[in-house]
Amino acid sequence: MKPLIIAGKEIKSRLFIGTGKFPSPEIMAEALEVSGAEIVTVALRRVSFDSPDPTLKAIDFDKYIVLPNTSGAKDAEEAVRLARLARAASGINWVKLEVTPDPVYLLPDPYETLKAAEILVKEGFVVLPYMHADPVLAKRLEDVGCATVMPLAAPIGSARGLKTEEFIKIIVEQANVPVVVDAGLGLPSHASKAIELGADAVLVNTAIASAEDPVKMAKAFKLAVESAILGMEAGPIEEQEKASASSPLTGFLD
Amino acid sequence: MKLKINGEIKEFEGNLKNISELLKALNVNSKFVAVELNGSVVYKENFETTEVKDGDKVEVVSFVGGG
Repeated sequence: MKPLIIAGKEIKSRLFIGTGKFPSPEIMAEALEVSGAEIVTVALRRVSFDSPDPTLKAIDFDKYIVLPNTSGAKDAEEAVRLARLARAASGINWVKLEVTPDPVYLLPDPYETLKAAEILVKEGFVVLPYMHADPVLAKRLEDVGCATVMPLAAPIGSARGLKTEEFIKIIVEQANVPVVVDAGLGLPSHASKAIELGADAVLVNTAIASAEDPVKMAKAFKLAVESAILGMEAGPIEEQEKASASSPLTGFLD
Repeated sequence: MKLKINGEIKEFEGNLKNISELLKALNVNSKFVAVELNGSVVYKENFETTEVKDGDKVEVVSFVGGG
């Protein structure tokens, strides 16, 4: 499989994984391992002095490309603040930009996302913005220097699959940066479908972390993504209206 | 001395000189931790030299699982 290049970095796995909601740090670590993912996302929160989050210790920062997100940000200012803090905490200048003021559907605010992206790119961040599947916005984000665009398939954690299919197709057709379908995928087949639409990668969290067996589901997503990538590289045949026999049409018995 | 840390007032015996001493008093490993002092980010290389004063507002943040 051809590697994916993001901001000059070669990424072999087309499956990115979010580290939230796993039943335990051990299960998360095993799921990450089995998934073959190289990019894993994390969130930034106030340290709880009495009960520190154990997830952090289970993520090997040397092994994975850790992608801090700005989840919780309600406007550009908060997102920029979170990105700066994440960089100060880790030295990592990649950021998954998320600005989600709407608490019900967690839909991203396009205006604040674009505003924050512009500021962060100028500050030297590699910005991967979570966005609605809006082809015009995707171009705007690309124009201000984002390293990828990350359109949603459906609301975060909803497991509803590619509800935005037609618009993701247009984004793929027009994009000059990698397209990562993020949010709303529930089944391995949804991930395959995203790749078959032309997306370069998918980001999955809840579908794996909240599955009955997260480790098995991580493997299922890995296989689904790899199989779709191989299929696309192999050059699929065109759809036809009518049948075309796959057995020879000569030499029949009388 | 009193500091407002992560939104809560905390009282410390004696005077903490700088961010490093504060993190030690909070029992926080500075790896993967970021600190904001009165709204400005303090970079790790300045933890030892950045003074904290009574009444300062401090945010101490780090990574957790998230998508």
